[in-house]
Amino acid sequence: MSSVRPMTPADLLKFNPCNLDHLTETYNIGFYLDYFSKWPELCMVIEGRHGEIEGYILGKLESSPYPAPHVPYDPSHAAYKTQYPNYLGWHAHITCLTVSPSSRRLGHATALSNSLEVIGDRENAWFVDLFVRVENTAAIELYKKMGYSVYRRIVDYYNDGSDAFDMRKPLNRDVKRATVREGGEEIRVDPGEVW
Amino acid sequence: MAAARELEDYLQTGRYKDGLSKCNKLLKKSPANNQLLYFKANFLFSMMQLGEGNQILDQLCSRDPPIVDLNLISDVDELATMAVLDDYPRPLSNGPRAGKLWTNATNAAGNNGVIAINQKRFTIAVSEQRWQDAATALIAMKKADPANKKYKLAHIAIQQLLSEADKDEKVAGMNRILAFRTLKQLPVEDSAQLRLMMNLYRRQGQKKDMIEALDSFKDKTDDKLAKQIMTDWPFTREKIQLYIAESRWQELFDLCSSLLGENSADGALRVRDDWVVWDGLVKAASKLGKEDAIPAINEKDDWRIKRLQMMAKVQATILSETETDSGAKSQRTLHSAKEFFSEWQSYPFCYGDIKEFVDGLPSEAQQDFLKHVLESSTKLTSPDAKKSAKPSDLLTSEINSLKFQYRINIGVAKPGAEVIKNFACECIRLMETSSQNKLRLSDACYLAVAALIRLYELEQDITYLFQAAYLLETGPVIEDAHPGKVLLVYLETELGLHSLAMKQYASLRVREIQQETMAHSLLTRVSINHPFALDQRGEASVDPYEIIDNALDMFFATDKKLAHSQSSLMKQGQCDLVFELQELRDTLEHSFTRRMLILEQCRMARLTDNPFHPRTPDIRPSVLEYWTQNLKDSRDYAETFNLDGVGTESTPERRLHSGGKIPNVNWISQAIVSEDVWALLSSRPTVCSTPSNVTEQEAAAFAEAGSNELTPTERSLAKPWAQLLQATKSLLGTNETKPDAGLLDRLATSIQELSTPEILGAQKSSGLPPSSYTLQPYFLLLDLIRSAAFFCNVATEVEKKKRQGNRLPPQPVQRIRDAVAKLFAALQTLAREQKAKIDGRDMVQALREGATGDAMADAQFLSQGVRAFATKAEASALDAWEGVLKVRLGLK
Repeated sequence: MSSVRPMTPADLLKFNPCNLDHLTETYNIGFYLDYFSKWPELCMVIEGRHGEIEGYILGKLESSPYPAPHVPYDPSHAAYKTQYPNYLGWHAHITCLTVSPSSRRLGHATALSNSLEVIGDRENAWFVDLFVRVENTAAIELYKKMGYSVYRRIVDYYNDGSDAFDMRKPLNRDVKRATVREGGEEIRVDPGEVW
Repeated sequence: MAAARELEDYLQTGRYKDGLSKCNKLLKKSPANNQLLYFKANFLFSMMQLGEGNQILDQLCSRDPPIVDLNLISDVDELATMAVLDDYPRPLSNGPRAGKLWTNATNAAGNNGVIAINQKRFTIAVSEQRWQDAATALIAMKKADPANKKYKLAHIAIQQLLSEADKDEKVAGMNRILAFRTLKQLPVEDSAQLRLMMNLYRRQGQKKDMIEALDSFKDKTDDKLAKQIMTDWPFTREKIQLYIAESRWQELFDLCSSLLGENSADGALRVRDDWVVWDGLVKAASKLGKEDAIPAINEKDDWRIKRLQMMAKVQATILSETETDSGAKSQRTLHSAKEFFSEWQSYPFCYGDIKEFVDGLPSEAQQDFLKHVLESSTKLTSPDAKKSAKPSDLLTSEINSLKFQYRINIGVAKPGAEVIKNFACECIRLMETSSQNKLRLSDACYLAVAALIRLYELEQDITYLFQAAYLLETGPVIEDAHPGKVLLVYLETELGLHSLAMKQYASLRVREIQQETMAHSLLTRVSINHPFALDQRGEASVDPYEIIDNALDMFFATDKKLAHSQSSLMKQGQCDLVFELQELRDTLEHSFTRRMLILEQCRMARLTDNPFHPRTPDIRPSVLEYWTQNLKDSRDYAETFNLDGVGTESTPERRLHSGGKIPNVNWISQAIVSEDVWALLSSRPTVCSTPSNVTEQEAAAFAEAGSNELTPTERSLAKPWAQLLQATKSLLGTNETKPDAGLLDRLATSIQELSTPEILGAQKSSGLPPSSYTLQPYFLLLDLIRSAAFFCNVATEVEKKKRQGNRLPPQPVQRIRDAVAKLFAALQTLAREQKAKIDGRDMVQALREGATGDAMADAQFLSQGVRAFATKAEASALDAWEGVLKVRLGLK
């Protein structure tokens, strides 16, 4: 019995069902404000019938912070396959996706990421990506069901020394599905190469 | 310059007098130096020498040639703010004097300078919520750069904020209209501007205009922005809600029907799984009498859509306006609810989805529903069931069934203890079966705990709470389920096992903004639960004082960040978020939690002799009204579960909070009196710039009014505190009214009458956890008698100095001294007796007591940890009593 709506600053006072859970990080206020102000349409909550927050997503739209090495950017161009595989074209990124423990397995994560993908398509992004701990097999499986695949493994990404998988899902613009690849689990990169 | 650095240092370290001498010395050499004059005024304001300070400030603000150094202008502006900091209601401008400072600088600057100066003024004004000054700065910027749309949009937003803050209804109304009209005239160029429009109209209650604004895009089929807005889910959702609010049923029906019938073509809305659309359809259909409006399920729809469709059917039977026979309506609802349960019993959401509809049924129909639930639900405990379904589904079904049993047979019916005990035992047995099947224990545990809390309330036997705590430790805490951890914080606090509660709270990792909503769970009355740091052998110390400090830091830092975001967004013309940021700023500024934490910290410092820097100046204007009026309460009391079903008022968190006595405004009033006594005696600033002047009668009145928020001991101490406050003011010569000759006698009598049996009750020493109910009165009494002892010490010093006019009659002071010393000795003796009785073996026994104890003894999964838990609880109970014994009287 849930509904997706934009997330607002006042929601930070209602997100305990998600953020008291040990798997969800509570960031400092500046982090959330940055997202609300820069990417308001990519911050969404899913709320229950009585307004309780059952999950939320924070996302952004961006590309690598330096000009594309080969213009116009086309992920199917050979240069991006071999020379610049870590350059990120215009894409949507899921920074945070969380569902409260009591509302899991109801399709909320899919509903929220679908909403983000719709905006990614509207903004002509090439793909959506996200980072996930390699040990979080439940989340990885869920993302795979949602159409994501592993693009690369970022070694030593988290503070505690864990690796992350960078997972991607191509959007409509990527007709040739050139932003994804097979066997990404085996392609290891250093955190310094990742934006 | 070196002198400026030195003077800055005097300010930072609070050495105002030395700074002023230094300043005067330097001014002799350069009497017109603006910076030196600024420092001099700052020292004077800091020493509350407002007259001379204001004179210098006047001088600085009207300098000719004007001050053009932007940093110095900002500093002087800050001084002007200091001069009105405690004006209440807070002024929306820091006055024409400071205005002149900025205007003169603006007039002296070139065109580029105008923008820079006024951007600075705007940023400072927004940060201090001086909306009038912010508007003035924007007008100057608009004048300098008339084509710039972002200033126009920012001005609209500021006018709205000004209208909301202005106490003058006429001026507020004018600003409201100006904001509305200006915005309406501007063509919408992007979705951010439309969001600003919707937010502003919403705040003004202009729903029709909101619909009109959204509809204006309907026919612009070739327009890119219109296409985006028409397919943008947030705007569509908004429209559905507006149609409901405005009772535009036909339009609502048409919109929702078309959305539910829509295919998910590229770029179109995908809304079939969004409840708002189904809800809108049901509401419209019931008003229009369209019985068969709910669309059927098609083969492409998955179970989620089926759930929504069935839920819509249940909702439709409730809302139906064509069915006027209430009996028939109940029967239809009952039928829909039964169908829903049959279909979804093995899903966790089943209970939550329909519980409120079941609540609305007459009791006979509720029993009929329950009969259906019992007959149709599958059971993990049934030996044959596992052949037909997965164990996890069986468990979920049984849990859903038990939840309805609890709600109807216990929550609503309020039966005798035997029924509740049987229920608790059944849930404990289900935990055992779950454990054997390696399934989650949490849900069965919550049901058992809900029943045990009921039993505790019914029989006033702490054993039940102790058993509940052990169940939570064994199930949800191990499973990292936060509702269990949150509840355990409350339970352990109520049991008086505060060191355990603190550790449990730490495991929740409450951070940043969560302090506003969660800090109360541990920190309400923490100063009379566990005022001392917890010294954990071999581990880092847990200090409640530091926990509060961290929580309080959040409020200041967050306001700064919110203000920064507001001003930068407005400067960019991106104003849609400004109002929502303001809502959060308002909440944190008027936060009840913030005030409560400050006062808790004050009391903790009093009880522990902490060399203390009070955080009271965080709350400005420093007037009582600002401490007690228009408070925002964001405390989250619904983070665990509420199976009893009467809204959040009956959640276990509330009921376990010192027996349901949840601090509010009367608690704040009483806490301010106590802190003011200590502050006056130690010659430091009181909570508000004017010390409390509560009379005995007024204290009695707020104790009476606060019967729902003050514990019996807190209420009984309100009068002695007021007497002590008045006596202190009398002693120090700060009372506004004529000294009352009988006051000291009455105070002495009040303290003499605080006999321990009356306040502490007929406490029986036992080996069990002490309970907060037992512990808190000790600390409350100690707080009062320590302050009374402090009063006696100061009275002796005053007597020695033989200050004329302030001499106190010596006999009552001696009576107070004697009474305080006697009471302190009695409290210590009792606390030692209580501590000596604590025994882990009694705690093991308590876990085995009664029918529920028997059920726990039979459960294999509970057998391993009993002794370890009792040992932990024993250490925590001893620590609690040691805390009482750590408090010193301090009588000289």
